[in-house]
Amino acid sequence: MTIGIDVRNELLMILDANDIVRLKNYPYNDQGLVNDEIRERAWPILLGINRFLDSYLNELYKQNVIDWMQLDPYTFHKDADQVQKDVDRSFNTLYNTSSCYHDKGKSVEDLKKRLFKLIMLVLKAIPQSNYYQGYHDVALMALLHFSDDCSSFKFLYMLTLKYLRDHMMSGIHPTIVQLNLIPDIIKQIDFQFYLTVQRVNPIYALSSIISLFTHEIENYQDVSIIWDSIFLNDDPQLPIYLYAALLIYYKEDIIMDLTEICDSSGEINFDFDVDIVHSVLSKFIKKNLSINSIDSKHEVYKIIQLSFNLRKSVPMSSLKSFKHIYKNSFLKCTSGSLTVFQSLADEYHRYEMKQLRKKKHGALIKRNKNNMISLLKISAGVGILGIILHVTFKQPTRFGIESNFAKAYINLYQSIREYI
Amino acid sequence: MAGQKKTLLKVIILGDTEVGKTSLMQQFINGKFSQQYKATIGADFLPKDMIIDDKNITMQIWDTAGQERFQSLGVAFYRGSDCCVLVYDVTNLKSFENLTSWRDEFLIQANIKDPDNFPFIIIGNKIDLEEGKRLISTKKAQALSNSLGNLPYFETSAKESVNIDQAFEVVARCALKQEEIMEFNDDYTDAVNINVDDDNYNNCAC
Repeated sequence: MTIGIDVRNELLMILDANDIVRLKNYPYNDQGLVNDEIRERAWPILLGINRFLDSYLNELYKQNVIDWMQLDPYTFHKDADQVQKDVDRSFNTLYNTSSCYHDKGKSVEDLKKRLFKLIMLVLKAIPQSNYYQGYHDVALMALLHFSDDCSSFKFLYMLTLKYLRDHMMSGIHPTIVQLNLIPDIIKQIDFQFYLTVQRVNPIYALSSIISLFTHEIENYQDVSIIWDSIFLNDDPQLPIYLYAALLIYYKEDIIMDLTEICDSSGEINFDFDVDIVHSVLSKFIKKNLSINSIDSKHEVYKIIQLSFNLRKSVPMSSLKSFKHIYKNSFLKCTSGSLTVFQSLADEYHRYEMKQLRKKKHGALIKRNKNNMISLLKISAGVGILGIILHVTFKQPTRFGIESNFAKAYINLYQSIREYI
Repeated sequence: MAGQKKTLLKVIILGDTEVGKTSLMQQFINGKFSQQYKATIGADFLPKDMIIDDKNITMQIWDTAGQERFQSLGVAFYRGSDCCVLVYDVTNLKSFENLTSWRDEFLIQANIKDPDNFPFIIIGNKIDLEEGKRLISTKKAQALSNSLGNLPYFETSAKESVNIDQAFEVVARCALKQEEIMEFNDDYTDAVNINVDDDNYNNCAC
């Protein structure tokens, strides 16, 4: 506890002195940024919100709030309906485990309204952004960590541009190519385990990655400490390493679960093994870092340390799948500007167009292939008919049998030959 | 039933966001309902053991994400499905109108070889909500079920556990029938006319 107070005092001193360089270089410890009071001050700085950006975002917030009050939500942003539905079912475990010192005594209904507005304002502030399920969990963390809605807005805005933009395109491809990095990292560290993991598409990691772990890890404190590690390192690549670290850290448990399920279903068709792998991998985080975990904080710290080691020993740029990451992805370009967001949107648009062309081209080839087959069939048919007629009508002439019927066939035969 | 071979049946639940896919699955498997279910991202399944006509089966029920942007992921999960449950919310018109596109997308992504005979079940959920909120009548839903090939249709309430077991029993029967047809096809790939004894499946409308 003494260490906790020391770290807290030191961090407060750094923040009071506005010593940004020292804050950014603050060594990571097992308590992260200690508490929400420090986080509220430190996170925006670590995300790069300086004085200039702060005043720009204040203005943007004010302007958007005016629009918000004048328009109905569905005119305000196209995704309002989906956002509303997800906000309605927020405020579960993550909220229940939060210290939430700003919001004590406030009704959940009121918080839901504020969460809805927060998400909508950020979506509006970033042109071409698309809402995705899981973003509402991220936004809830932003809402709970700040004492006023404008601060939540500024924080979520920067977080979105810097750490989430790949997931906010109109399609999911930029996210999917990121997930492929996870088995690639495992391959470099533990080949045997990789053989199990690579059997399935890494979609099991989707919800953790797009929600920055808020959808899977239900303990507010654990998520806060993980976010501390990401922001203190100022590293948008870290979530991928954190996920790989989680897999490696809980490997024994995963293998045990797989063995158990496969044993109990000994008589079941083993073709479904792939589904079982997917299912176990989809559940292992929730299972191991549940709100009932006795020492989750300690485990989270060890996982974070492991992710730092992974990052050092397996640089992303050395991985095969890194080539498929978009140029303007936050994994390749750490700038969190609107311009980069737009460039990524353009890049994704080009990808979509290319896919569309490929699809059309594929359909054309298929159609041509079908045409070719039909043409060949007709040609072969005509050829065979020609041979039959040739043989048949040579004989009648030879034997002096000439009927109108035969003449008609001869004409047909000749016209087909001419045609060919 | 010791020693008897267990048949594994794969069932996919599809439908728009917040129609109650997770609730239906939870109610059927665990017999409980909660207002606290989080949005489903990606897909995952829960198993359920059943006995249908003295056959031991395990149903692997896949709960999926409803948001459209996640639809393209289906190709990773749908393969090998034996039945697909299409769910809509009786108070949400759009969720009803989207049923056909959910079905079409499923057929493409699951790469179903005989689309006309693949078993689908339609479920209209949330009938516990007050009558005034209801936007899709039984008649309208029945008409859609008929137009899509006389699909079995159920109206349920996952909240109050109405019609859940009945609906999933039909799901199980349809899935079992489909699994047996697929096995038969695998065994006799030359067979053109598949002769299935209808009497054994008289409870299944598909």
